[in-house]
Amino acid sequence: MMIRYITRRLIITVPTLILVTMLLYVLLQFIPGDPLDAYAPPDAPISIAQRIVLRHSLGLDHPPVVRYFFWLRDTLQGNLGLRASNFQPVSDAIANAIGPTLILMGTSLTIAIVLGLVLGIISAARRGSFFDVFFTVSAYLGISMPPFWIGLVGLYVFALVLHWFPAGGFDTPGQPFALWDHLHHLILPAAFLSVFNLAAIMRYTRSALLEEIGQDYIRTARAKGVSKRIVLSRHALRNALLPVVTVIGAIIPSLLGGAVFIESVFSWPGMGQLYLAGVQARDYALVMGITLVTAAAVLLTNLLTDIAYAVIDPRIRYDD
Amino acid sequence: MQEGMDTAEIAGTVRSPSRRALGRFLRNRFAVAGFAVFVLLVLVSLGAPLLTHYSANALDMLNSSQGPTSQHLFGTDQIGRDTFARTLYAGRVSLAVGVVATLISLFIGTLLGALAGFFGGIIDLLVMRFVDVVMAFPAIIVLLTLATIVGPGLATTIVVIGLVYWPVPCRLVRSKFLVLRQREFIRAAEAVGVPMWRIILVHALPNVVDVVVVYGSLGVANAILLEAGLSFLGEGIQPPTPSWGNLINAAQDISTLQEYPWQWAPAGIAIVLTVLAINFIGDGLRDALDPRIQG
Repeated sequence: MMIRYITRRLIITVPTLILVTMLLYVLLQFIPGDPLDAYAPPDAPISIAQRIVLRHSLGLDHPPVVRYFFWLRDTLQGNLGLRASNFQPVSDAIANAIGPTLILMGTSLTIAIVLGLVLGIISAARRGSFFDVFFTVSAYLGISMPPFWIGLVGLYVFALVLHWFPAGGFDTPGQPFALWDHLHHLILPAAFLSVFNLAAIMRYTRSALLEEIGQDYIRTARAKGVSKRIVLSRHALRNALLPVVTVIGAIIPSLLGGAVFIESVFSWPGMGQLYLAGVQARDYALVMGITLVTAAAVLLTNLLTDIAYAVIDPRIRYDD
Repeated sequence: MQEGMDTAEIAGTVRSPSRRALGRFLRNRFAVAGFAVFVLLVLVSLGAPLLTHYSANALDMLNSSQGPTSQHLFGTDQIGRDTFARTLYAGRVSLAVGVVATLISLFIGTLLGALAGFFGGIIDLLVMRFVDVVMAFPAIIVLLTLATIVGPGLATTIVVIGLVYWPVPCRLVRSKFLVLRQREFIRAAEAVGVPMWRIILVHALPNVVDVVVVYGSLGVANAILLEAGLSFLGEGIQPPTPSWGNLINAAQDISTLQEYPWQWAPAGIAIVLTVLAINFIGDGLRDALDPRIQG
């Protein structure tokens, strides 16, 4: 059953990914100007005959539908084209930027999950207490703040006014590698990137746990004399936390989107900054390459969380 | 609250479901407070000319980058424009973008969701795959990529945000229509020969209004956040037209961020207040319209 479920999810994901590439390819066609201009600008000192030869050797003289398959073949081989600014391969630029982004997102996700779960559980366990009201209202605030705004306020308060942290960057330039220096630069962006998702996970955990506490089996366990603590930690928590796996899958896109802003505010040298540089310079190959990589990452995490959920929750219906 | 315990019913007057939903909404303190704040923000934006005699774009180079004074409540920006006036007028743009973009996404989402849920089969399959594709992209990435290709501006910003957010209402409406499709009153209408478009519009559609209203309110909050993000990065509403997002754009300059917080902070606070108010309204509406789900 499990194998069949995973196969079916895979069979759905692959066409979606192909549709994503088609959509991106259609968008590419709307880019103003001749695609040849990216390789030979209109004012380049080459003859019309040379242009025709170049157009042919690049495969640009084929109809758009045929070129889609060329483009798909190149893309599958990891060839995402050349950057307009310095003619470096887009795939190299992405490979250089992906590390810092993964560090930032990983740290931020860990903070969001750990604190979100802990605060959510305490809030639900002490429903109506000062702690609960305070953190429930704070969570509302957390999901209502744009990521760049909270990043700017954090930068202003903790780096510019209090001087507790550096005002951005990946490390102190010109210094040898030092773990503490990296952490010092990482804390602010990771913490402020996590705010939205921390609030989302906290809200979700709290309401899932409260719903579970209201179930009959909890009342039965309490009636049989099981202590409130044990009922909460052994019975309710287990059932309430299973769906959190899917929530974590669902916040990956918002984490990626937030990273664009947070990297911009904190000058973090990752994919988000690279992407924004591409957007501002109208570097289409770079923008499209990163968009494609992002979409593939989102689809992959969706697939993984669906499978993880099916593995850990025996109640899941495989025929859905 | 249990239906049977409703005092109005005991007294013999049966209130309509929408009246009871309104009652539940009005008893939710957060929702009412959110509604009051939202109305206030709309009035303040619309009444901008009554609240300040400065225009959004009048330059006064002699008084640039001033701190807050009785003349200029929030001070002035680098070319002497009154920040208070700009923040008020920006509210018009940001709120309008949020509402219009949400209406676009509601229209597309409801239409496609209704067709997919009602007709099923190949239409459903195609629409749902399309939904999967659009949802595979983080919203801000689609927005920036589209803005890169089409070029930024007010119309682009509205349409592009509208085109990004339709999958959510589409999914909700579709799942409601899948159930409605099997209900007796729909099958009866079909059996007596009511045309398909009339069944969808007159018989089925009123049953999804609650879902659309709840999503719509939360959608406005999301659209305002997206507009702000896009304009903050310089790819949304273009200056001199003020929007809350592009006012905060001034803070990308580290010295403005450090020395002149009044130039960017009011717009940010306005965004947070608006989105918070709308989230309260949206959650209040959800609890009022569907009392089974507790927030």
